[in-house]
Amino acid sequence: MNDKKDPFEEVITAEEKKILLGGASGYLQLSSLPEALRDKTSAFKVYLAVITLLVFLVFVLTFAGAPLSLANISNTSHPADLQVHKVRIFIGLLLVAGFYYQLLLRQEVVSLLVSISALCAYFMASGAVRLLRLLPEPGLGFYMYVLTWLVSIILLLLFAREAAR
Amino acid sequence: MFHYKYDSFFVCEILIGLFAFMVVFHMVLLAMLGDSQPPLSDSGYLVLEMASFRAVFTSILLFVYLCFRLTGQKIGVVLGAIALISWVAFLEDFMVLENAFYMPELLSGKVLQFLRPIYLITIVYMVIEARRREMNL
Repeated sequence: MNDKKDPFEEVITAEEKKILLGGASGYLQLSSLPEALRDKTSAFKVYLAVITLLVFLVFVLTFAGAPLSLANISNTSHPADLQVHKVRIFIGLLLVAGFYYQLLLRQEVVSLLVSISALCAYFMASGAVRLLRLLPEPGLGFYMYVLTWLVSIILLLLFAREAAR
Repeated sequence: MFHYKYDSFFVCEILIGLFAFMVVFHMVLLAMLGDSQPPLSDSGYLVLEMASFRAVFTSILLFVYLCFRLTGQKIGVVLGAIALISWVAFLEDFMVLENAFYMPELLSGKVLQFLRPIYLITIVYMVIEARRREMNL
């Protein structure tokens, strides 16, 4: 009679064994949005809704040709300004997709949010420097540009603080 | 600060520091010597305007990193932010602004062009390594 025990029986649980034998596919499986938001605070959900709405509006208005870009505000004749704006919009879309992917994987999003807010600071500062050079004097367009980025950065940092809880 | 021994991470820090120093040094040289020829394209014009801004921004990022490092705080998040900004700046240069640092007359520009891909790979390695070490703490 063989009374030898499985050496792994006492070391790992049945659930852990299942994960080990089943591979890592469960780890990379996306959950649904309600599942991902289940253990989040209500403030987190509000921030997520507000920021998503703002991002959606910015993208829709940008593609509709509204004067949101730096090139439009400053009436610059340099095509490079418009190209930089397009590249930044593209990067923004990628980052939003990356954020939602991270969220649906149920992984921590704090570092990503802080990184995006730092990137927004870079965009704001580089745009402001460029506008100060291009515009004869900083007018309403300049202040609106800076204010919009500032609000975005503050919102993202608040969101990151809420996500850390 | 005590969680990081003098190993590959330390070598990476030296590389990053060297790159940041070269960026600032190159911009100071540009400001002192000026550009011998006017820019030939729109992107070239924009590059010249962005150059000094990049140097200031690099200095600020380096200062923030040093503050976190010397006070012994977790640096994973800071490194992640620096890496994201660096890669976005590189994409802007690569897709629109062409050679942001290249000045044929200045050796510092050539050194920067050589160091930049090394820097970009190094900073990603540092982010991964810092996060791994912080998760193991």
